Amino acid sequence: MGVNAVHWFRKGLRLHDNPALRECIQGADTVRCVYILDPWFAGSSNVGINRWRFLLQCLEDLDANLRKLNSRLFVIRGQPADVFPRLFKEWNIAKLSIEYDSEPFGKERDAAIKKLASEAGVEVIVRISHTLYDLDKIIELNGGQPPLTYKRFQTLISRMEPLEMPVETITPEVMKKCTTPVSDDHDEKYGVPSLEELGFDTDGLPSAVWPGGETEALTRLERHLERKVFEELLLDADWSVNAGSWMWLSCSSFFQQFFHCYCPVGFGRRTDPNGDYIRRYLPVLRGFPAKYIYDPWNAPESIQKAAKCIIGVNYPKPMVNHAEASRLNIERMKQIYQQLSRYRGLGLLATVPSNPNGNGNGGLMGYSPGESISGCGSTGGAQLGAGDGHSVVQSCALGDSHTGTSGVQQQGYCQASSILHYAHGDNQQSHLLQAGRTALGTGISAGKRPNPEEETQSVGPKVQRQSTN
Amino acid sequence: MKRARQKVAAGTETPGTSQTSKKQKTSLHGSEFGESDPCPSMDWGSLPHHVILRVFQFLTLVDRARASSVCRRWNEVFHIPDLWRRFEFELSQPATSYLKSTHPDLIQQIIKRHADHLQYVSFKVDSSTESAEAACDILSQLVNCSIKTLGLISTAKPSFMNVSKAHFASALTVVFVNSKSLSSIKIDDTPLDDPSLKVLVANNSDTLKLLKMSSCPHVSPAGILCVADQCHGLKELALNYYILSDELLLALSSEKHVDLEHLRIDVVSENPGQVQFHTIKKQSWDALVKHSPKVNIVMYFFLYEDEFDAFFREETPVTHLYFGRAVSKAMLGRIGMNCPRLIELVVCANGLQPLDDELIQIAERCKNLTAMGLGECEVTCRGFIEFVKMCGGRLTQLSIMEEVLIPDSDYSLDRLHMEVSKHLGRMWFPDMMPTW
Repeated sequence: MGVNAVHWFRKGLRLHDNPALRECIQGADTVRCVYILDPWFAGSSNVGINRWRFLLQCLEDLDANLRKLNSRLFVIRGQPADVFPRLFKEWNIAKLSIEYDSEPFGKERDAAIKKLASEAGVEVIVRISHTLYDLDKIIELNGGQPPLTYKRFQTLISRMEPLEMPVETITPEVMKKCTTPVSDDHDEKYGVPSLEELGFDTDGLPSAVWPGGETEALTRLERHLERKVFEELLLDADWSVNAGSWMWLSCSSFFQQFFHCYCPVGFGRRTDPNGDYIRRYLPVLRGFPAKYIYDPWNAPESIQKAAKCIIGVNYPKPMVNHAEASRLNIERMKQIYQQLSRYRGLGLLATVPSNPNGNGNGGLMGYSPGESISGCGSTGGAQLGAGDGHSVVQSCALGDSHTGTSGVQQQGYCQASSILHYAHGDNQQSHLLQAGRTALGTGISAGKRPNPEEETQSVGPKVQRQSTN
Repeated sequence: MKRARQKVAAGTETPGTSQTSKKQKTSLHGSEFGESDPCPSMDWGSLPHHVILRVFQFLTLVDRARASSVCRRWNEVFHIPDLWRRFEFELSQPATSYLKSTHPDLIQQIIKRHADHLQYVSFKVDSSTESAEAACDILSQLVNCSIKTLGLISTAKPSFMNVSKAHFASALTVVFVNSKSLSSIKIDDTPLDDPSLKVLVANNSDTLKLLKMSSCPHVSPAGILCVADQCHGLKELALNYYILSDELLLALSSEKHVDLEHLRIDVVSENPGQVQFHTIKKQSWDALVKHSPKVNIVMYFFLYEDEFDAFFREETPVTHLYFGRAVSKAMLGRIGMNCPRLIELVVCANGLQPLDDELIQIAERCKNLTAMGLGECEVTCRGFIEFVKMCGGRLTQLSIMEEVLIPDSDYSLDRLHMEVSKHLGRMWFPDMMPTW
């Protein structure tokens, strides 16, 4: 009765630089490398055929390389939470190894599997090899928050211990006495499926420009280092980077400064005045002179005719009027940020919340769109969104407008200028109201007592303040 | 409380209950058990109105509405005008919007019973024309109200612009004519027009203090001038540059006029090169500042680079400048020369020429500058440090995209952030854009 181990491949589909697999093999009598194919994902229409093909090629490559070690890859259909209890029993497993997955979905999934493993008496080995650094250590070093700028990140890692070299590639020598029991019907039961088996139509599918697999990847890497050409493809997108980018651009997660609005016309003009990039990838616009190549819709008809490209016919008209759209957007962003930061002054930069050092890098209070923020600071106000899922944050106009003590900078010549804004706050969307609830005259804030002088009146503080001015 | 209990216990009116304790327990629910209750003040329902009102003021509308179903007295309190001073009508089409919408029954109730009580009203509408039209319909029914604050807010696309001018104007007229004490009006991105402004002025000139009407394309310079001439209490005004005129500034500076506190001007390009922007005379600006020395003048520019010629050729008292698109180097130079009152400068984009000289001049001449934001431009590290050194700790907001800073022989980015932090007196990093 030996020690039977399983290595569960999810992302790190490779035999080199795989510390979890390496440790799994150590001290095990048998090892089986599994990949769990959740049939739900196959049916999900979001993932295209190219990405599936890439994955299957990776799995084939793994299988081929494992064969050289007298082993095989076990592809198992199902969901991990169903599959593992069965495997633990059937194969009499004592050890399970995985590469650490930091994504939210991954963390949840792994927590569930760890529980099942412990119930079955299986030891779980987790090693970090998807990221260079241990993310938790970085966050810890940064006082419990992820660093928000690259500079900060660099500072942190400079304080950490130097990275270790990657662990040795799994070779027959590394395997030593560790074997893999392979049955005759392995291909039937555990073989890598084909695209057709997953339900894809491969008719007319051109061959892959970038085939999947560790072997291919290592070859490409060598060539890359030789040529130093920068390749951009998103076949292997990283969730965090992608999500981070979108969240940054939409200002939904980090409280970044929002004044920076990309204008495709302006940006192109500044960085590539002649429009070479456009000419290369949009041949239909090649005929336009540099003056109009970035905004061909503004070119006079004669120029469009000469370029043999009529906007609206040969090339679509723009979807938005950028000046208008950016004007509206900056107002919306400002309104939202003003609600969150309770800033009532005139400065644009200062509306970004939690910005004590005036960087605009502030805002470690990330939030997901759709969640309501409970309370803007001390003024409780009436309930916020109370479970409605309404994402508008209530204004604290009533509570804080009359405080010069809000601590927020009031920029401007006249300190009192912001008070006379429209009574519901300069934050035009804000209100003490949601879904038709009325705001309350006075005494509305559970947390903060209104000024005694205002208690007696039921009108808004703005107007009151004016009279006491 | 105790005395009352004893009184009830001592009474002999309830048959069949000889136990004092039982009487004490049931006394609070006298009416339910058919026992006559000599002390009605024991009842929750008999709390004085003003006490219930006070409690209600802590509740959300939904909770209040539920409470109002408890008994007649609580129901009466629910409808006390004090609780109906403020309302935000949220109007959206469920098929296309995730935003919550005020229930139509509630809207009906308010119009029927509380239209007269409303004083602070806003309408939040989504991008659909129906929602904006619904808002206008509600407005048209607020006949007997005395509204002080009115806000028309689009959450996304300006859907009020799709409402017919006539419909919109007639809705506004109802409010303008009937309220007679409008103080704050926020009505950006709407089909507001000159005749409506005349009606506003005719009825509310004594009380109007705030008017925000940016991007109302049907208003002419004459229309807004009429407001300035008549509404001498106006303290805050937001409009577009094309209706700003020398006459307007002079009207706002007349002796009868109160100090202006906040003037917000949007300068938006229609089509490149097709709009010539007029200039405002220096005397007009001077008059304004003389009259209202503390006025904040906020200008938001959304122009193409070559449309800036008309601006800042002479001294201009602007305090907050925002450039939502690119701004020319020459323009930034003029700002340094001619904007001594400048407090905040935000530049979305410039170009590939370093702005060292311009920034240093701004540091020299804009002594009130406390906030700066730069994106998509170029400044050498050396130039930037010079700028920060000259401004020192007065820069409380400094938001610079990392790509703006060009390392040179004197400074690398690492050294730069330390130097800047030193001069600012706090830890500072440039802003970073995540790569993908």
